[in-house]
Amino acid sequence: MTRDTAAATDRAAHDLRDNRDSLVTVTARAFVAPVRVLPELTFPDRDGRARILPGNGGISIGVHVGDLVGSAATADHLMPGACLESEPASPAAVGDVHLLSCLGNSVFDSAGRPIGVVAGKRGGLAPGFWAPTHLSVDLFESAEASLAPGDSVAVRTRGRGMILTDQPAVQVFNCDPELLDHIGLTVRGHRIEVPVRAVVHAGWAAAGLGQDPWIGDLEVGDIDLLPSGVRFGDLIAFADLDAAADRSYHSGYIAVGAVSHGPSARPGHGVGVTILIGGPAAQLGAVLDNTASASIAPGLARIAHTLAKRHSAAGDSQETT
Amino acid sequence: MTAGIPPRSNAADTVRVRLTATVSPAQANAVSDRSGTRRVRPGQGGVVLGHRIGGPAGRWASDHLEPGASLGHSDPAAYAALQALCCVGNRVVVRSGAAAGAEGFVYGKHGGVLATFAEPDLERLVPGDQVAVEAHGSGLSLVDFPDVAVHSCSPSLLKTLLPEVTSDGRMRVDIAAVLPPTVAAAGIGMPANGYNLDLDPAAAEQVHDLDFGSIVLLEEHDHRFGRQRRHGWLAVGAVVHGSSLGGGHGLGMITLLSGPVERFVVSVVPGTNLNGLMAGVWL
Repeated sequence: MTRDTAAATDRAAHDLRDNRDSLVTVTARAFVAPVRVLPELTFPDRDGRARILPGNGGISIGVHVGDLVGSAATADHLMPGACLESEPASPAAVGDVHLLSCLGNSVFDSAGRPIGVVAGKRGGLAPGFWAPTHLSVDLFESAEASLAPGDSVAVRTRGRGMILTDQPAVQVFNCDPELLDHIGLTVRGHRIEVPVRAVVHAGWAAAGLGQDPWIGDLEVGDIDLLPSGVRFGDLIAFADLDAAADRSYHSGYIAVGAVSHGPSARPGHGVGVTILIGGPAAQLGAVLDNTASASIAPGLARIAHTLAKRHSAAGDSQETT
Repeated sequence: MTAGIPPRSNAADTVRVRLTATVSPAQANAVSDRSGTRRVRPGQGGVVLGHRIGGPAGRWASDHLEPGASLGHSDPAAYAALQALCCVGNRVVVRSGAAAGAEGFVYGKHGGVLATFAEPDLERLVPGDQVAVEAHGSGLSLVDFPDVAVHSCSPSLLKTLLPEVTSDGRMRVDIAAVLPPTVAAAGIGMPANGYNLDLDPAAAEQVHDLDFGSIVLLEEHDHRFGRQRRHGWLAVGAVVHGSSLGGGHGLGMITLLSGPVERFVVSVVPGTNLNGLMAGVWL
């Protein structure tokens, strides 16, 4: 977990009203996914060469939200930390844990110790596509050293059903209410502005189009459209894209999400963005920002910090009673 | 390379393989429209009656409508071979059931391999019937245009799709419509020799007016090794399934050719369709 960005405040910087008091928290079980290589599904890269690279599945050691996304030459769809799936060794299926989880949700090991926070989603359901539908968990150092594929974990899911009370046309997806507090949203009248690192036109959106915004991510078809220093967790906007309508072209709409996986050399694949908020451009705007504000890294770090502190306080109190 | 005749290909070196397949069951696709309302629509799988290659593709109360029959295989590896090896124009023969002996042709790929039959034969065909496909065209390439990829295209279709080399050394291709890259939706990132690419009507209204079998050109797309947007390239394909209420979905385009723009002389000829290109070969 990146610590140098943990200086965000505990309170929301904006005054958006939402229905978080009505949201339900559900603990869902998940498993750390194995690294899978399926030779018959090893698609060629842009030059026609078949390559097998690390990336999805298992534990990506030393990879955290806030780090550079890296190169397509050395990894394929790399995600920070641990990759979770609903059931061990199952083909791609959108399990309950994937559909209910939000970025910023807390994750615990089988002993009830916090191990990190959900940092991204990846996956798809196209025919012949057997990469599992994954969640990525940005891990505490202690968990990174011990967690292994097959381990059972618990995700404390929360965020499904959240609406913005005063801006119902703007929808929130995959976003823990606490994370929403730490995204540097600005409200100007009835318009919400989100700081982003880049704006990509829907015409350059790639794999992930035509799919429910709660599943996986939407990929940027050309890495040159993103700043060279793009990092996991950076906020990216898609212009003329309606996230609610299965991530599709819609002039005058906008969707903003966080970078959830790194680049890929496969044609039509690239850096993945898990959608967090979307709606008509009249009510939702993206503002280019080169600071840490245009990232979920500070927010996730703050949530992780609180989670660790709460657990440690609970442990102390148990010892004294 | 000689002007006035089709470009040279390696068709004489390609292999013909007989595969079996089964007519797939009908699906009741549940799809959310762009406002979020969930609806169930027919059209994918099963035997779809009353639609033909050359007929309108975009107007039906359906989801991903596949005229004729959708073919699959219960063994995933055999299914993968069917998906990869079958090409548009390949002959299909029904081997079991009331339609045994009927002949049809592969016209596209989606979740399954799509085949068209004469309407009286379709009326006797049911899901579960076994068919044989003579797969021919995988490995096909253009001798003088090595940077142009040919996908899912039988040698017989290739000859009419690329009728001649022009005097300046390019290939003539007639198409019914030119589509901007923004129409490309679900299917980007998938292999180019299987399945298809959905064309989202929300990005270009002309998609509504295309027919099953319409030959279309997708601008700025490189489909050699998979489907991706890329400046300076184009992809040519045929419309093989109907539209969808769902966002990011629409008419399905099977990729037939992809290469650098400068390899082609493109003419927009309204009505250019698999039907005309395959006249005399299929029904």
